[in-house]
Formats: sequence, structure tokens, C-alpha cells
Amino acid sequence: MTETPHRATAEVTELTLHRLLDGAEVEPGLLGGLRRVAPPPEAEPMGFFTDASICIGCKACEVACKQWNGLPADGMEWSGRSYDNTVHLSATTWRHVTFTEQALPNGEVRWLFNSDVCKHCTAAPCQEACPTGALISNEYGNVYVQQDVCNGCGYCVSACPFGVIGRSETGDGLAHKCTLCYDRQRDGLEPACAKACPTGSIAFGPVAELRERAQARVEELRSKGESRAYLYGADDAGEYRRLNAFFLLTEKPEAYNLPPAPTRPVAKMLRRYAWSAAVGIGLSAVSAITLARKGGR
Amino acid sequence: MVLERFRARVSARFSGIRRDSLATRPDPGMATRSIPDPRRPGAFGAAHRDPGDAYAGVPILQRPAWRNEVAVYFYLGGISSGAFILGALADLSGPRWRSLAETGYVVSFAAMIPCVPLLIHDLGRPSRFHHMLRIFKPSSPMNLGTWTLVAHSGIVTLRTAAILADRLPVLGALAQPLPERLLGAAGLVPAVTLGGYTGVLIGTTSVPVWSRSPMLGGLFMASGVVTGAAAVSLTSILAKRDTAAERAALGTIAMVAGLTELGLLGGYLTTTGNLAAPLLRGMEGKLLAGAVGASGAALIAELAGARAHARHRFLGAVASVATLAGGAMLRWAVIRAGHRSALDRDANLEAMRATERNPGWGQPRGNA
Repeated sequence: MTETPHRATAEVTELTLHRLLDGAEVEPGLLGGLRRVAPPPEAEPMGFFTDASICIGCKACEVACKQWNGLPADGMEWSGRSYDNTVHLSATTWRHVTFTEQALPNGEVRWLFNSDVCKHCTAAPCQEACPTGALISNEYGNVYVQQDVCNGCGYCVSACPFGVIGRSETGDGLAHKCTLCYDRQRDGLEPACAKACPTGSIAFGPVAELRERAQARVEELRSKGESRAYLYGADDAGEYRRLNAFFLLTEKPEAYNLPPAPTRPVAKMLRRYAWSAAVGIGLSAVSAITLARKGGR
Repeated sequence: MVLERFRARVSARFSGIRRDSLATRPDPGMATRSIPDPRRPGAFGAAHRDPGDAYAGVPILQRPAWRNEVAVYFYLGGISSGAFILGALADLSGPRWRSLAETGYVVSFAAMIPCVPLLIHDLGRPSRFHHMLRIFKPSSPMNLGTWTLVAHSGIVTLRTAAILADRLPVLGALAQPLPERLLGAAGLVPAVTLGGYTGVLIGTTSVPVWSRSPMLGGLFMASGVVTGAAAVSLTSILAKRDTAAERAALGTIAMVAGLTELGLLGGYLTTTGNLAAPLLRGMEGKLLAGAVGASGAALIAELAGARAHARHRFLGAVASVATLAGGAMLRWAVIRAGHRSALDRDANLEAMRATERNPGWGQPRGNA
């Protein structure tokens, strides 16, 4: 497997008009977002390894995440889908435990749990789409929304192939998602969900270390008879680059409501521009020729 | 249900689509009993024989944040782009097309005016609209489009101001030093970008019906040129500034662009395949049929007008009105269909299934 960088920033050209109106007293974020501070030095890429095979569906991660990040409640209604009444990640839900009840041929039922989260893609469609530069890959290689820069355009919402990032429609109107507890990381703490996880299903650490650990865990499970264990997102696959928050699953991705092969919207962008330009230039040429051939008044 | 509430929360700010029209798809594998139900194959309590069915009806993607303002902006931006292209080309083709050039610039200016307020209103935090311009980031079509709109609106405003100033004694002299034709020629670049980037923008997402085909930008570009020509033609006729030659030239351009648009629409639907289903059903299907019908009627009226002496005036006006209606229905249908497509789990999975080129991580290795 080839080593690729953990960040996508090298591919993105950003020129910034900054410090234009430095020191002006206005609403925070109105002009503050125009400034650009020197980025902190790059640290070792950090991420999550979520091992679905030892998740017990306790939802401690969901609660810890809501509590630490001060996220509002979403209301409580029975979904009718096993014990999963969270159903989906959103602007106010950054961890979501999926509950899948599988009916086995022998009449027994087995549980499949997984704690879903932002995948912190190394080449993140939300970050590539963001027109303001609010979405960045921070010093830990995590995809992060700068809340003072975001203006709520909603492009990231439709760009994300996992349906992770959401725009707060009833709150501040801005895009929100898992920050990988950026604030805790800066203070040398592990993210709230990983701290709360009672089984170690959510492991936090340097991505390179986590990948080795995950690989070893797959081998261990296979040797013990769980032959379907595999890693979701640990390696590059086709047009999608690997994830800094990857998973160990034992069933196909659809069982956890994950896409089997996520697509990267920007991969085909130049083809789309080519069609648009060809039609625009072609019709302009037709118009110019028509005007040249038909006499004026 | 939580999912319903999640959708209702989003729907609250989207007036275009009713909540009940997007009700959760019933889950075929679900049952409330604890024993297998022979009437529902695969049902076993809340359990599923195929675990992939556990989340049947729960979309993977989130609903797009873009509502009717965006459809209206796409439409007016296309008209502004098409009218500018015609105005600038007439400007460059010599003084005999002076009247057409003026009409083109003024129509382009008028269509551009509502665009910026529409885009600002669409934001979650409108007071920060200027954050779009803090960077130049070509990987984001929205960022490139914002810069394009800035360039286009600046040039069309200068050009329109010069035309109006010409009619006043003092301002006319002040506007003299403006390199008018050069401005018109330079403005062709942002104008051609403006007409098509909107299709590239929604194409560069994960929404299946928008992103499967590469042709959506080309389709919106062609629609921009044909609606721009229609708006210019109609304005000219209503203002009684039209000449036989102008009507004939605009009729030819509208026919070529209209045929291109219909061809690209066919190509877009074909290359989108099954994922185009939300565009062919319900309200969206009616809007799309209306768009095709209006474009077809406009082409017939153009043809009949061209056969009459030097393009019939009334038929030209009818064709223009039909074209403008068709362009609006096309944009509206496509934006609405994106909402349905994003909320359709089967379409999500179909668009992101493993292929040879993009294998994903979907295959559990080893034997079951």
C-alpha cells in the first residue's frame, strides 16, 4: 500500500486578503473572519479507530459528545428502528450509534453496533467545496470548521458523501460537525467520546499507530473465526483517499448505513467545466457568425 | 419519528417542497412481532435477514440546504450571462448592431440586479456574505462563481452606465474615455463562466441526480444563452426597437441554442440513467415536461416565424415567452429533484456502489 500524506491542503490553492481592516470594532466574525493568523506548527496526524466488533451500543459516546461540546438536545421520539432513536448525524449530533439486528438462518438474532462519526477524510469533499476557507485541515490532520469564518452557504452539506456535516437551521445558521475535540487535543486530552467509551471500541491516537493496531485486530478476529472482519477507510480506495477516522466492521457497510464506495465530487469537476465551456464558446461562435452574416439596419 | 422531525426541521425553512411529499419510505423488512411473519419475507422482529435492510429508508446523505432562491438565481444568472454574450458580440460586430448591443447590456444588467440579494438571503448567516471573497479557491465552484459574479456585475454595470450616460450631455463626455468595446470583449469570459458554473456547482456534490452526469453545466449554459436571447428579443419587441434583421438574427441564435439545450437535456438524462428518476416523477416530472414542452413550442414558433417574411414579430414574442417559461421550469425541476435524490437511500447506495475504478471499502473479505 502506498503512503499518502494525511492532509489535502497541498492540493488547494488559497490566496488570502487578510488584515484588511485590522482592529476595527465590529461584531465578532463579521470582519474577524477575514483575518488570517499564522497556522500552528504541524503536529502528528491524530484520528479515531472505531472497532465495531467490541461496541456494546451503550451510547456513552453520544452523551459525552453532547455534554462536552454543549450541543442541544434533538428531541426524543421513537424511531421504531431497534434501539436507535438518534437515526442520523447532524449539525447537533456528532456521534451516532447504529443498531442493526440481524436474523441468522438458525433463528437467532445478533446485534451489530457501530459508533458513527465524522470520517476526517484526508482529502475531504467538504473542505474542497467550502468557498470561504472556513473548513480546514488543522495541525492534527483533522477537518475543522472555523466558526468565525463560516457563513452558512451549505455547500459542505451536499458535498459530504457520508451525510456527516449539517447546517444548523434553527440555531446559528452555520455548519457544524465533529471537531475531533480540537480544544481537548490542544490541552493534551483525548476526545470526550473516546474517554467515555467503556469497552475501548473508540480508540484515539496517532493515525499511523492506530492503523497498525487495527490491522493486528483484524488478524486477531480472523484467527478467532470472525472471517468477515475488515477495515473501512484505513487505505486509499479508487478516487477516495483514506480516512483519519476509520472503522473495523464485520458486515457490509450498508448494514451500518455507510456508503460502500464514497465518491469525491471534485474528482470529475474539470470534465463538468469542460462541457460548460465547450457549450458556451460554441454558442458564442454561432452567435458571432450569425450576427456577421445577417446585415444590420 | 426522529427522522421525520429531522426532515421537518429542514423543511421548515424550505417552502418549495411539502413535508408529506417526502414521507419516509416504509421499511419492507420491519415487523413488530417476535416471530417470522410469512406475509413479510425477511421480517423477524426488528431483525433483518439482510442486515443491509436495517436502515432501509434512512438516507445516507443530508438534505441540500439550497432552496427556491437558488433556482431563481440560477435562472436570472443564466439570462444575464446569455444577454451579455449577445450584447458584447453585437458590440464587436460593428455599429450596425448598436441597438442590439444596448438592449443586450441593459437586459443583462436588469437580470443581474436581483442575483446578489438572492445569494445573500440563501446563506445561513447573511451578514457574512463577504467571507466568500476572503480567498480565491478554484477547487470550490461556489468560490469561483462568486468571483465570476463580481467581475460580471462590475463589467455589465460599467457598460450599462456608459450607455445611459451617452444620452446625457455631461456624463456622456465623462464616459468617453472608457474602453467600451474592450470592456465588452473582456466581459465575455466571466459571462460564459456565469452561465454554466451553476450546473458545475451542483454537479460537484454527492447528490446523485446532480452529480452523475458531467453535462449539467453545459445544459445550464445552453439554457442561459437561449433564455438570454429570448429576454433580449422580447424587450426589443416590447420597446419597439426591433428591426427585421435583428429579429432574424435572434431567431437563428435562439433556434440553434434551443436545439442544443434539448440535445443536452437528453444527454444529461441518458448519462444520469436510473438516478434521473426523481426528475421524471411527480411535481418535478411535470416541471420538466413543461420545460421540454415550452422549449419545443418556442422552436416551432421560431420556425414558423422564420418562414414568414423576416421573422414574424408576434411569433417571435410568443417564442420568447415560451423560452423564458421553459428555462425557469428547468432550473426549478433540477433543484427540487436534488432534494428527493439526496433523501433517497436506494439512490445514495446506487451512486456510491463499488466499481472497478472506485472499489471503496465495501467488501468484507473471506467467507461468510
